[in-house]
Amino acid sequence: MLIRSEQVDTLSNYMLRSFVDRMAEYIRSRFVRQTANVSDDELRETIQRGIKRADSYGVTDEADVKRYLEYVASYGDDFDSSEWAAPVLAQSALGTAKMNDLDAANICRLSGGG
Amino acid sequence: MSGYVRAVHPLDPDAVAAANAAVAPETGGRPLRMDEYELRKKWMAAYEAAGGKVETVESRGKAPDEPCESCKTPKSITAKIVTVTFLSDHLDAGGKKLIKRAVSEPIKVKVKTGVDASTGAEISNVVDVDSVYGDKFTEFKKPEWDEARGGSSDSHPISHTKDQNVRVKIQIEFTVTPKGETGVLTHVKGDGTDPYLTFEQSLSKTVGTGRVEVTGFVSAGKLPNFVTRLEGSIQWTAEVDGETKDIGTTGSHVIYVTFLKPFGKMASPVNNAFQETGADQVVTEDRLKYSVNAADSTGVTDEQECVDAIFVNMMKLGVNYILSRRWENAPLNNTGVLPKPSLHHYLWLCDAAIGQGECHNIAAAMAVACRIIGVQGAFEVGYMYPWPSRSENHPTYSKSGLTTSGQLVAGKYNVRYSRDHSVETGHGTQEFLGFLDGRGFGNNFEGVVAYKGVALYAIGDDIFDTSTSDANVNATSYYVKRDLSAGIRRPILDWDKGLFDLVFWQNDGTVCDKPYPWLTTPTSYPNSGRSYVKFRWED
Repeated sequence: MLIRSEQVDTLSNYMLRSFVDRMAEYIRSRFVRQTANVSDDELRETIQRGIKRADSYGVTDEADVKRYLEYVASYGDDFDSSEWAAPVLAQSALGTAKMNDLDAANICRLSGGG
Repeated sequence: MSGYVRAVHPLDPDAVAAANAAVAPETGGRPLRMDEYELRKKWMAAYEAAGGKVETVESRGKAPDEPCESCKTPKSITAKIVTVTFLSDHLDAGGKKLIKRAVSEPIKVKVKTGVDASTGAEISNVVDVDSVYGDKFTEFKKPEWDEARGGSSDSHPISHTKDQNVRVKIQIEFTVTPKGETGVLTHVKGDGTDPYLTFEQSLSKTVGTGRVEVTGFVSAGKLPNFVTRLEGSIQWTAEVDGETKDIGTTGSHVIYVTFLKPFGKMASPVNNAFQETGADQVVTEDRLKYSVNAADSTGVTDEQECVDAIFVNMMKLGVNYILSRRWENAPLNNTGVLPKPSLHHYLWLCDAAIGQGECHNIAAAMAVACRIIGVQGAFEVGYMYPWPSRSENHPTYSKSGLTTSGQLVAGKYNVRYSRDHSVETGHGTQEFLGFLDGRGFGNNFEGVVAYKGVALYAIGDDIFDTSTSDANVNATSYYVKRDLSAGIRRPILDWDKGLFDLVFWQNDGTVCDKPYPWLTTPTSYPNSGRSYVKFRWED
């Protein structure tokens, strides 16, 4: 069977939309307080922006992107420019390694009482 | 891949507080650092124990817009060590490596070999030298070992204080395929030729393709507890995903082990007087190598072992005082070196027996050679003056019985003996006591390096430190009859007999021809072509 490039794009867009839908549902259920005053459209836009930002940092695996979006939900859309997260995200490590380092940096930050 | 356990978001504030409390005894409340893996593990365990939820995450190899998970190809991980940086070596005030690479300087050295007895003219020959003891240098770099710089073909040395552990950090370059895959680095080991170059560390770090820095290595053993030069290599291995990989060998790592941090300075604010002021000497590898080799295996008990060794090395090289060779401020140049070297350069030339100098110059040279391996005790360029055994009570000149620390005085440190001899017709109001060396040349004093104000090092001769508290006793021991065979701290044979012929003279060189009323017969000295009315201390 031959699959044309347009068909691939269509499929990709569908998969991406599906992922955004699943993430919206997941974030709203897990981060109830943080999303209480956020509309569905706003939440989907935030997730789409988060996916693009994650990609720019080399975080592309679904599981890793999900973790990145949890940080967005926890600390805001612009957490990636914060003093503790920015250096980690700027490192050359990719994907899972980078997200693990981000978890470590978050613990370091919280352990100081901040 | 193996699962990774993390805290579920959003984090539980109460569990966070409990986890912080759990690590507080170690941290004192400060934030954890990224390299504190064990403490972070403890924090996570406490978080979970306090009811904080955790989850295991696994990458599936599928991007959000991919229709299915990527076809799996076998994971492959290769790794190689790319840098080694020493963290416990000596740095300069600017944070750069203290040890520098010397840049050689072409000089001409006029080596004095003697004096024409009939004319008094100097006999010398000129030698061309590429001196590596000058102040010019280029920087050695960090990392000391860097694959990008050629690795072992351009490994840079370090200087390091003795009896300490060596600390390093390294960088490992990983290549993990397929793209996006990772592994877990759990152990890194550097097997060195000796414990002080052996390192080991357990960790848990997820690694993908790219460079990973591993810090916090502390050597398995300490450096030797003495000054020495070491050279060794390190074979590194890394355990990734449970598999131990050979990641390369680094070295040779050259370590100049010093007593303490190298330092040292010397200036001449007034001609023929030296003070440890001014700019620090440049710690070039060649200068440091000189002193470390000279003081090899010393410094175990105390730093004076190092001082002795530097002194002995200068004796072995034949360093001795040469009259009319000295460093003075511009425009004078009596160093015998062209172009005129800096004072530090000149002193190091004297240390290496390339240059020549009068006694106070080679004494200063010895001081800078000691300082560069970290000898801290006070050095002073000083003088041992001869003293007579008789009082100036004309015409009897009775034995004075002058003592210091219970010892009859034959010499004093930094106190010159002079007398008013105008009681004798035609004699001066100020005559100084001098002594004749073995060739019949007159000397006013013997220049020494005084260590801690008491131990007197007469370069080319011996160490005079019989007394640990009275430098005058030690100066006396220079002027009395003593064993002149090889070795150091040779025994005193007779404290009541002098070693040298003594002479009184005035500052203008006029020699006293009647030092005491009963002494009027001159003695000729063929080597110097001179004659003096001399006497011995005991006369």
